[in-house]
Amino acid sequence: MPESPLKIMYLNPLGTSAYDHVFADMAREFKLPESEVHVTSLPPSEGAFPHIEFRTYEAVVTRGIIRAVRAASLEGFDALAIGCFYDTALHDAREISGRMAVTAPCQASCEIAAGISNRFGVIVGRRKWVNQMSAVVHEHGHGAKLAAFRHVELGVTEFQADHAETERRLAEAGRKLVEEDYAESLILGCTLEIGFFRRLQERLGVPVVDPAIAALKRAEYSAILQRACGWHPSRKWSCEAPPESEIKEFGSIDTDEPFGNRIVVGGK
Amino acid sequence: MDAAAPKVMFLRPVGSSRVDREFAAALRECKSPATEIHLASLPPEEGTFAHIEYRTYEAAVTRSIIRAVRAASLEGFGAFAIGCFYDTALHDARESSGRMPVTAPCAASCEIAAGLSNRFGIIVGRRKWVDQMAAVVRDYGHGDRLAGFEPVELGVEDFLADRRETERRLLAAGRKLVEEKHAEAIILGCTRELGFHRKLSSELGVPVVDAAVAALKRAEHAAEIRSRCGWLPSRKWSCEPPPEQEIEAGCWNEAAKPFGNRIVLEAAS
Repeated sequence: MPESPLKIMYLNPLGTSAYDHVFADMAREFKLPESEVHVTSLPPSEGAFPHIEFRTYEAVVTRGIIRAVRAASLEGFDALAIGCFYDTALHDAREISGRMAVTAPCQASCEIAAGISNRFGVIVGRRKWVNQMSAVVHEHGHGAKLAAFRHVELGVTEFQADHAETERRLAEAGRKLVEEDYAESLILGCTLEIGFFRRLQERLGVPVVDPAIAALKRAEYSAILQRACGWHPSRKWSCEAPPESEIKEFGSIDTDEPFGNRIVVGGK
Repeated sequence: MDAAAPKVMFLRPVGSSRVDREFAAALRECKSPATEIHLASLPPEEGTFAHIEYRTYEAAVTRSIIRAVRAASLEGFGAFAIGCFYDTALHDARESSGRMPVTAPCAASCEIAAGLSNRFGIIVGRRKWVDQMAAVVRDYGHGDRLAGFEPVELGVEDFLADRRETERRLLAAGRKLVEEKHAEAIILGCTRELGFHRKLSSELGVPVVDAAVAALKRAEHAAEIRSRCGWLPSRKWSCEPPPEQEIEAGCWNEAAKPFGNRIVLEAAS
């Protein structure tokens, strides 16, 4: 067993720290005892986005994500989770992550749901998201297991506003996914649908996967695989990282502070 | 032993316990200190298969795998791994596993390789295996990531006979997969290709996933998220198990012993 803690970063790809404490509380409750989890967000100077529901916003914060991933890798983190269910910039982040594994909520949730059911449904906030998220699920290889998406007409920032109303809507969408679309398990398709999975699980009688927790647990699993088995990311062929000399020469990546906020959970 | 230690079973789906010790040693090296591992094999009365390279043998041991899964579930295991890269009877096992998640080497290895690379190759023993294993990889949704299979002309029983020769062949096959088929990671497509992954990885310069170790680690992960997050197997729609009264009415003899050999790797105190 490693004496040093597993170092995990949960990165909120937002230019506000408003939700960092929500995910720090989540990490405190669900992390392994041997993990040290850093919940971080981006500097507001990268754009003070409280959500990235639009491709436009995602495109803008991608630079911030890459800078954060690079910094976490250089700081010696074992694994990093990008905290958005679009799995924003996952492939880009994996290219520059060095020996650090990178995961994200959609991929982590689909893996878990595929391990405990043959067919899953995803509850998202707005219909806007479905086209892109469906493509992500298919790209990860889980298209054949996807029962359907259902949306609840809530934006990212609205999920935590009125918990009773959010739970009512999530339960209704979940019931439809199970009864009408024959889902055998459910995934909550936004990291801010946090705090609801246990009650939904009890009410609906199927497993309900929380994507933020799934991403944290997948990051821990990656870290364990590195420590116990030596399984680090490949750097061959398409996984080749850009040359260090160019990164230095071109600038923009290793410059300035990559994080806006940081909360450390566990560790020494 | 800590009563709260998560318990994981790794089942060798063969009726011979001859190499159980080698497996136990390899799994001990990479298991989580907190987990109690039970390495089991099937009772020889169910057929003394030393390997299940043929569909015929797989079909014959499937009944025993289901009995073992059922027994492990009733015994309270937190997760179960079926130790064959065909992922023999995985879907059947998941149906009757109760509250216990079930995984297997191909599913676990593909998931890990897909997290470390965009494209992976698989080294198998014989060409015979490729058609079926390719179908399994595709079934899991990883078909697009598959660079190819490379056989080394060794049967399951041959891998550990001459380790130097096995390593030479695995290395040559790995080189072909990386250099000619552009694999970015390698999976060792038989649980008996045990004990080679670190050396191969350092020689080839890409991650090399040991299938037996992958199944064990995925089972530990499944047990962890089961206990901490309550993510148990679904029992809805296609995941519905057969009715208990039908099982009790005589699907099989529950009194017959489900395991042949069993080695317990205890959790660290």
